[in-house]
Amino acid sequence: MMQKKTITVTISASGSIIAEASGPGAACTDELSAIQALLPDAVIADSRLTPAYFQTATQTVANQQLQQEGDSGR
Amino acid sequence: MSLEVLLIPLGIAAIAAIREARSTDLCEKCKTTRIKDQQLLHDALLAMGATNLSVGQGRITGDSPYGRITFQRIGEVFLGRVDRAADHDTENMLAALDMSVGALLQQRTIASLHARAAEMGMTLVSQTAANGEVQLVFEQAT
Repeated sequence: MMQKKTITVTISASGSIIAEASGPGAACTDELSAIQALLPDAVIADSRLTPAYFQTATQTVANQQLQQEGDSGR
Repeated sequence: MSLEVLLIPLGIAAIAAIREARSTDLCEKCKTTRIKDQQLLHDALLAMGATNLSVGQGRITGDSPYGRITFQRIGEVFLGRVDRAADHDTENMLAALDMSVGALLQQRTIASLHARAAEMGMTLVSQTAANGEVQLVFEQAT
């Protein structure tokens, strides 16, 4: 199935920009590159991983633990 | 993966550069702006209603709804004033200028985003405006 990367860009009345990228994979450099390519006339002042990232990371770890427990229980 | 990035358009300064700018003999009684780019300053002044603008190396003078104005680049950013006027006249003029700059940057960023997204093969899913903010959502198949 084809997966999609989403970039949401919010431009304030003062002209500052917040861009949020989300999509499959764990490479934040890819997301950063995509944002920089989309906004070549702006410089990055700050960046952070969003709560959605940590939620996904927690779910992945939990799923791995469940799988390991299932494997060891067989 | 989900990442959030704060970006500052080229042509305006980060906070540190604004703090460093101080009025000097070159522009007595001037107050600092966040504008680095002379063309952006010129365009924003025109949009604000300024006329008869005279542009020199790092300096712009002209007429405005607030009176005669002078802008001088000091370090990284421009400082400006309403000539022979009280401080609050300069502050009012600079507040109007700042709004004009913000509106210009917003329009230019939106236009640039549309062009770049098309070049990158991204699809504009939605564009909404509320409370002065404009939000665009793009998708790209991976």
